[in-house]
Amino acid sequence: MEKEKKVLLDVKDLKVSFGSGKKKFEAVKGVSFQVYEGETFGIVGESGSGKTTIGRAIMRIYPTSGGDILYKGEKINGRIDKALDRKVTQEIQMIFQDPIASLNERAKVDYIVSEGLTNTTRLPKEERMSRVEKALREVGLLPEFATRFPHEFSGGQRQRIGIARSLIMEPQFIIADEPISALDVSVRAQVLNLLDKLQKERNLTYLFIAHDLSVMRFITDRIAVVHQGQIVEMAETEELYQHPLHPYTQALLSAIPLPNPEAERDKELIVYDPSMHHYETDAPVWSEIVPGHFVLANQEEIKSYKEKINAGISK
Amino acid sequence: MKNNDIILQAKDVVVKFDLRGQILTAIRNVSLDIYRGETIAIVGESGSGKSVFTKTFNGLLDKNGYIAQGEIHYDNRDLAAFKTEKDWLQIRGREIAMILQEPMTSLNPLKTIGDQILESITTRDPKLPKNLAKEKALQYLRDVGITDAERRYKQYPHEFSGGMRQRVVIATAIACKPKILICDEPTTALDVTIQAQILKVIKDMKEKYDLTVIFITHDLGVVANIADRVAVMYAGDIIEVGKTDEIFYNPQHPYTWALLSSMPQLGVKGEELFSINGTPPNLFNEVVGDAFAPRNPKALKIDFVKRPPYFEVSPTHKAKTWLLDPRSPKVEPPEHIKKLRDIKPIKFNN
Repeated sequence: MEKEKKVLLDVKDLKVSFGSGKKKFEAVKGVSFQVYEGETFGIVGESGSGKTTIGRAIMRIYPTSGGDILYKGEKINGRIDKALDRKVTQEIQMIFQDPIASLNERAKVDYIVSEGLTNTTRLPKEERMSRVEKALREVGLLPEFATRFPHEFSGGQRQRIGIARSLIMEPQFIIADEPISALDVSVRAQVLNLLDKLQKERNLTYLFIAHDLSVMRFITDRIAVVHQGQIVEMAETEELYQHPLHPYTQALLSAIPLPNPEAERDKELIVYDPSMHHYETDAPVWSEIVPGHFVLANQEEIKSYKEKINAGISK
Repeated sequence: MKNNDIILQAKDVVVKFDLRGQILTAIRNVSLDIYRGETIAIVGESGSGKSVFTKTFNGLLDKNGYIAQGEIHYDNRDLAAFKTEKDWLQIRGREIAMILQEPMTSLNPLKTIGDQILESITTRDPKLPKNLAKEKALQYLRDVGITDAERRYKQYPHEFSGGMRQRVVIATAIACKPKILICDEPTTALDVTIQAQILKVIKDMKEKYDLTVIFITHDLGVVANIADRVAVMYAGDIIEVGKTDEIFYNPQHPYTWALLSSMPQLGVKGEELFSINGTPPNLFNEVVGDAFAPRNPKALKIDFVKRPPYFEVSPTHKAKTWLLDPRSPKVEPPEHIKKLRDIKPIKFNN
């Protein structure tokens, strides 16, 4: 990257667990990553991998059981004072997966969009309404829509309402949890373009959580691959697609359906079996293979990964 | 396609729904031949009518929906003329079976999966002794790739993961020995790695049990993987149908162009993704002309006036667009969809 990268979000050894005693389940087992200002950082994994839990822990929906989450250098997990709480509530916003379930079906659009404002500020009604109008326009909806109910809209429009709801808070950091997986192919592109436009206009930072690697390549700058609560590989997006090292990343990439019948016929599927690692004697460590490309691997694997990357580059 | 005999033929089918007095025309004069032993994919956005159309094949339309016009020929019978549930019981499951999107809702949570497969087997063959039936059920479970079938046989659906449940659903469908298997978005709720496995199971089962597969999806990547032929649906009509290669490498209808263009794999980082403007037409109103015309920036005048008929591109490929009329101006498909051929699987130098 050209200019100095500024860390916006710093997650250090994050742990999240549910239940206690015998039933305790550790959904996130010590995850560390940094998100730079203005970038789109992707978290990819299968269902149950803990990717959504990571997002929700940052949103402070789930309490953390270990580690730190630093936003602009300040710790935001655990107990924090009121002023910081306010700031974080306003600056970090979330966009949800299901545009039907995430909107209150009994509320009108103006209420849904302005709810955050009502909760955090005391604005006069006209001011609030004009902000709702502005937010709706920005996401490509008409101001008249403010008096309608969510069921009157199509899936793509509902997702736009969800985006307007987070924009009205003038956030700096948006966590988007599978914002397009419930949408049709043709509408997906519209929503992605909108998110991209907003990022450029407002210098937003995105944390994009998804399972669809084909879309991730197009929108993210860096990607972390999560498997069973751990990040197994992290790199800049193109680097990850060019030189996927961890067998789990390879399995995910090999399974992407390609819209090209010829390629689809001679595609090889890689199946990931965690027992292929020999971690009993040689425990895996988080290591940087080439600058910016991290893999969770043991000493033996690190050696072979380094050889592989060097061979790949010299070719 | 091994041979070209038609197993199911839909002719000029119109399906309407009565919604509190308002009439919605969900399927507008659709004709489709389905050949024995093929896998045909029906692609379209939600609301395009792809599910509704296939539901007419086994009498699963909602109560307020009805076939207003047309014929559906299967095995010398006209399914469109079926009136009673008794008629349908001859067809549903035992001739034409269906797999639905959400594997949790299609299994009974209160019965072991063994019992659910047994139910399929004994309805089909009531006189079969119990031990033989169980043996068969275990065989079907192994067929769909469930390891340790003996133990799994006694378990309940909640003890299975999403992918495993979908395998069980496939087993229950196949246990009825159908000729046609309709798969309605069977992999949409699943992870990509699991999706690849389920697609493989469906392909294997098709080979093993000589099935004809109708595969409904909105994912063109899945279509490229599984289909021999593709039918593209838009606003209740099949606007283009052809062999998979013909649809991907020589598409004719502007909607097919648009659909292929919106594949994220064609995107270039930093540039806008292609997106289709507008929304599909409201099917409560009568659609005049080409239903896609209002969203097509290059639509011809006639597109707004007269509905195009099928024009033949090749003996296996036809499309409903005026662009194929010899009198219309030459409109080239967008340049970038030619790049579909360049999408290559990622190479792993392991």
